[in-house]
Amino acid sequence: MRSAIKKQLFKTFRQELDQQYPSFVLTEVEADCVGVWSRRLAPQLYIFFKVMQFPNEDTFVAELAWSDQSLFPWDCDNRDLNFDLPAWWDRMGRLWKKGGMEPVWELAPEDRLDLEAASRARRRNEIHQYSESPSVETVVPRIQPCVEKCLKKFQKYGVPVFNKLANHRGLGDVL
Amino acid sequence: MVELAKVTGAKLPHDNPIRNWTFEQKLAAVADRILKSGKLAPEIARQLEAAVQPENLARMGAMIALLAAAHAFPPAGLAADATLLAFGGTESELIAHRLYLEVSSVQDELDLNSAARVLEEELASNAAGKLIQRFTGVKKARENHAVTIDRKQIRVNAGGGMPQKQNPAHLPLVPGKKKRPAAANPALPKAVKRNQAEHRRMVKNQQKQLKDAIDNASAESKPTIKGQTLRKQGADYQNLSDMTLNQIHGKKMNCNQRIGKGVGSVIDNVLTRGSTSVYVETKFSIRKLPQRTINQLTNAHRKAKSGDTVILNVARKPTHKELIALRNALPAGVFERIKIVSSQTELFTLVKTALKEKKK
Repeated sequence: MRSAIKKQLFKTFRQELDQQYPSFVLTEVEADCVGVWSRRLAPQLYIFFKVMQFPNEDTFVAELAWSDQSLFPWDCDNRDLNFDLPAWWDRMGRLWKKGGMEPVWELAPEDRLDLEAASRARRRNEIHQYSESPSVETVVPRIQPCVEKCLKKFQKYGVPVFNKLANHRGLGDVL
Repeated sequence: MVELAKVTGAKLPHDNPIRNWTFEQKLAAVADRILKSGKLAPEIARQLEAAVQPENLARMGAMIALLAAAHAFPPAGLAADATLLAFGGTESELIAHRLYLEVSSVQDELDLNSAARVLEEELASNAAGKLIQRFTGVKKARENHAVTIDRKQIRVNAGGGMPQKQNPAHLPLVPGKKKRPAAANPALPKAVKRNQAEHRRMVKNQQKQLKDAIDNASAESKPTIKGQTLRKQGADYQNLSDMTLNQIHGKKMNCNQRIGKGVGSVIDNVLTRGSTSVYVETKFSIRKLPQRTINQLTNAHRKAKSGDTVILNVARKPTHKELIALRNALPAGVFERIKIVSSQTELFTLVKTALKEKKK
């Protein structure tokens, strides 16, 4: 993801999360991700919302997790929603799309269309000339609606998971 | 009769455009480039040199055409290796077919280079050696072919003889009986076969596409066009591989997943079915090995449990030199664990098998 787009994406997520989920606090900003927000539910129970960028595309995904540690459990292999386990993480899209390729948020779908055009050209035995990616100025206005859609999905699929976890641990609804 | 510059001292017909050359002329030029590069093992180089002597050249061209025609897959270029093998072709015939397609479609200098690269890589395999022997009648004692090519005692035995492991990563280093992963599965989805044909064209046209992009670039985009096109080509190959992997039913596929810390912490694809995972890192070429790639493979190796698979998917088939560089760059034990694939059919079959095996 281009750095100017990443910066704007981070800014928009921070703004939206502050408004909609003020209990989530920004915990990590690493090179490979846009940001990680977390909330402590109990002394040994943390929930996470992470935004991950794709290195070579202007595309992002959201990841959800819980852990008994304060750091995002990226090394955890558990993908089953077993609320007794100390940690879990998965791509948010997996909560509504169980198999196949995961859903992602594309900020520059022109790049994908260009690759599809390249593929069609190859089938005709022609050589495709790639078109330039849309400019940062073109992409930036698309960020806000994408972030809003992503957070709507979080409300619909992510929040119920965290509430179920909290209920299972006897904490009641937390979001 | 065409005369080969290296062999006879005569010149190729440079006044005549390459696209108008005969098959034998193109074949001679391709062989000439390989011999001049000096990359072949001496014994194989000698065999190739003998094969393209004027008295053998026409015979070699005719035999290649005959072997290729025995498997009439029109139009040229669309027949995947797997199909040929599935129809009972031998490895020599497969190579003959591939050579025929490559050489007969040569139109310009770039195509000549591309065909030379294909033949050079194939010549490293025992099957190609056998093919050359069929043309020339050269029957050298196999034991004379062993050449040590690096300090780690990696032996290249042009005559075979070393035990074959299942890991395709070993195949180019130890030429011998080639594995036939794609042929083992006769029911390859149509989309995978189509992707394989695309893969070939992508690799074949890569340099030409890059050259065209540079030539056609505007003055302001000239400085960045090379990097931009190379990135797009990488993304294009990634996209093609994703489409192939998406043909595997019952899997979950995540892209750009974090599996480690710092540089090289993200891997291109993680496919899971049940508790089995397959880690796939995709590259167009491994001519250059950045630390990121080393870390990605090392992280995948560390993360992979027993029964999981780590795959390095390289569009342009790695040469011996590249494989040795990869082996030397990786920590001990990692190279042996990695399976290297350079075709869509192989990628599909390997991942499908890997995800199936643990399920039983």
